[in-house]
Amino acid sequence: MIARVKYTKGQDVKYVGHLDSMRTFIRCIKRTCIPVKYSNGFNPRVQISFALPLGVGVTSDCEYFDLEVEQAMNAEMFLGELNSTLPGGYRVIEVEFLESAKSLMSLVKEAEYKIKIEVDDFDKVIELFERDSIVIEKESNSKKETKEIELKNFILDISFDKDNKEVIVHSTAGSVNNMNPNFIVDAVEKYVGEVEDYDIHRIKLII
Amino acid sequence: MINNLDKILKKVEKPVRYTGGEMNACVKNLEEVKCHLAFCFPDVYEVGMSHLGMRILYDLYNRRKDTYCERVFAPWIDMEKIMREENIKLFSLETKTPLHDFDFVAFTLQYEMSYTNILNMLELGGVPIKSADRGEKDPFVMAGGPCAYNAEPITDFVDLIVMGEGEEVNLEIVDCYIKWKSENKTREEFLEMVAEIDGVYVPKFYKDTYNEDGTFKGLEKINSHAKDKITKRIIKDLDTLTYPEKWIVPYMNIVHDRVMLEIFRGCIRGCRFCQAGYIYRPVREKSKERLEELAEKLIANTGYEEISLTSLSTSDYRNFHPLAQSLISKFKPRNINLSLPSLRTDSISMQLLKEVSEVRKSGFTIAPEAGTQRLRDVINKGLSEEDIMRACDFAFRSGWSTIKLYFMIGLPTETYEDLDGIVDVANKIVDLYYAIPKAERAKGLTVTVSTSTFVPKPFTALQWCGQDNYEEIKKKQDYLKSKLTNRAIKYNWHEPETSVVEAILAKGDRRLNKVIYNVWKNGGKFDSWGEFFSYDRWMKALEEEGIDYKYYAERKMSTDEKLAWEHINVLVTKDYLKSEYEKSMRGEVTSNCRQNCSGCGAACMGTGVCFERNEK
Repeated sequence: MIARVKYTKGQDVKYVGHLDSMRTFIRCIKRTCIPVKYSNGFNPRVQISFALPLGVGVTSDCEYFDLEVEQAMNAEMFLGELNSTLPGGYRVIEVEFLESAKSLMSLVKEAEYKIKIEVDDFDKVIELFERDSIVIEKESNSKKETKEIELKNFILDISFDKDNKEVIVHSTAGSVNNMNPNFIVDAVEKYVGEVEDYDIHRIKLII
Repeated sequence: MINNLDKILKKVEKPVRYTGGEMNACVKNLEEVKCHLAFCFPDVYEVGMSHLGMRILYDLYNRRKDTYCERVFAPWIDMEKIMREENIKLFSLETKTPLHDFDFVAFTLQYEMSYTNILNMLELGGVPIKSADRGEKDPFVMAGGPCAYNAEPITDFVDLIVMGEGEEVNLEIVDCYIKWKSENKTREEFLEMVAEIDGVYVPKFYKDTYNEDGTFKGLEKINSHAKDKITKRIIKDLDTLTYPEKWIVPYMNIVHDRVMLEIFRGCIRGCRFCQAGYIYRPVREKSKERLEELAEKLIANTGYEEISLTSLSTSDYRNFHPLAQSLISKFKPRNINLSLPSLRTDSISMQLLKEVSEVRKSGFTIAPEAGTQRLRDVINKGLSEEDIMRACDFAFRSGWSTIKLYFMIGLPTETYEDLDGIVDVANKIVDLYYAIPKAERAKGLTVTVSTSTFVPKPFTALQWCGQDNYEEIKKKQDYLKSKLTNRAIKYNWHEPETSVVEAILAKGDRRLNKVIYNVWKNGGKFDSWGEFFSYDRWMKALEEEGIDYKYYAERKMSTDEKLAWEHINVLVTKDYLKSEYEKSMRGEVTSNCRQNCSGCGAACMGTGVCFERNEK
């Protein structure tokens, strides 16, 4: 049986990386009475898988993980138990018990972000995204080479909150065509000018 | 609070080093406390968080309603650079309070090479570096830990030093502070009050004097509140102690990422080079029942997947076997590993080790320390070649194929025969492996020989000895390199430069304060990290002060000479150390505390191993 859990990640823990967050959840789950199902084999492990990794420094209202459990339990109790052990900043908000499920990662197709960008003239940011093409450079994982990518290919919809200097972007996401939200900040840095500070928040992950 | 912290953290490596908020970290309202302490570990977060002492004291202070202890670590190089650019003062993890706003700034002195980081942290925190420059509004800078037993080289920078185990004395200091604060007295008056507490050393109340030939003459007491001798504090009954049950679980991987369960303090063995073996005497154990209770609570409070028994020599715990068995049967079904470091090579310990290390990926470690029986007798390392071979035979037949051997070079009386002994031991282990039928041993033999350089330490039997000089150590290392030629043997050595500086600081006196200051001024920090340590920087600073480093590191001292740390009483007497030194030079061994009391002086506390016989 799989417990599909939705959770939020706040300001206090936004610098905790993906793997560190995973480990935190595993340790917290072990502190509860949730009937976790361990893997077989030499080193039995909690079987947990996360949806789309969240970058370091990014907060979110909508994260998911799947946890293998022996049996379903009362949802309120499940959430209450887990929330009482989680460090401030993480909060589990929904749980659904499924007999079987496709991997979360494969289900993710789209995401929505709210990105606050501190620049002198926010109008220029709005103008930038009116262009037909916005090419940015992306470092390869080995950081040895950079390749050019077309940002527009990821963006499904975009809107702006001028007063708060926020970009709200609906993009493709997942293992195939994922948009790293930092790309938006990179594009502003490249075409508009220096970004004083920024804040990225994931509003939605569509599965 | 620091308003642009969020912006800065986006630019640094591993920002969780600076954010706090981990599971079980202590949150308090600053308005409600009367004493606010910053516990500073002079190294980076992942090193500092692995230190048990900090966790014990953090918990101890924070159990008090009127006191708040927060954590501060040395910022990594990238963070420091930005902090300096943006003029951000070094701050605590919990409330992001700058160091200069605390009542106490407390450092733990775990290793000499961290001294420059102390100066750096004080400066980054806006605290005047020198004790003499601190005013009424500044925090009191305090220090404790193993290097506190000879903290003379850093007396210019600290206001008070705490000797021994901190669980009682630190609370007495807090009481004293709260009383002092309510009485509106001066800074000087606080230091006089605190100097009267047992175990507290206020360096400024003493003056160092020297003989005409430049040797140390003694410390002269210049304030009547100060004591003639400062005696270290110990806790008589460890079972009465609180333990950090709310164990902080860091987000990031730290060096020792597990629950540490302290099973006893002290060591019965008396290896003559080992400072810990003398300064933590007498051995005192926690009861098996107390440890079982703590283990359950710690696992329940953390969700950790591993628990490690912590002590100087785990198998010397009298109830070791039953304790380990009980913990294994409790935790194995819950997929929690038991880790057993510092075991001896007796058969029960070996059998347990085999049981807990199911996947024998990590190596099997033995520390003979010296290559021949003669030299092992000199240092009183009670380990025979037969013990080593028996342990290796067991390891090979139990699935290990990597053996790690730790030796010291430059030990007193060492000759090239002793180095040949190291080579012999390694070769014999290789032969032993090939003598075992293939079907009965694991594949892929590696014998790793690591040598470190002997550093004479205060309060050891070898404190009067000199260190080999730098060239001699190099020569010995080259010799070993040329002799350890078997394909299965790997040789690792430590560059001797760090050990030379360590020896200077370990046996140093107050004249070194200026040297440390200058090294720091010239950019010295993170000296325990190879990539930042500069031997030249230290040598230059010593030269500028007209100090011959050989005086501290290489010179063989006469036992009549006055020692710079003689005003500290660690219970083990100077006469005892002298007799151990003499026995050492004659190659005579001393039995361990359980076989026979050798009268070191620690029995004066009326507790621990010295009285075990009377228990029954």
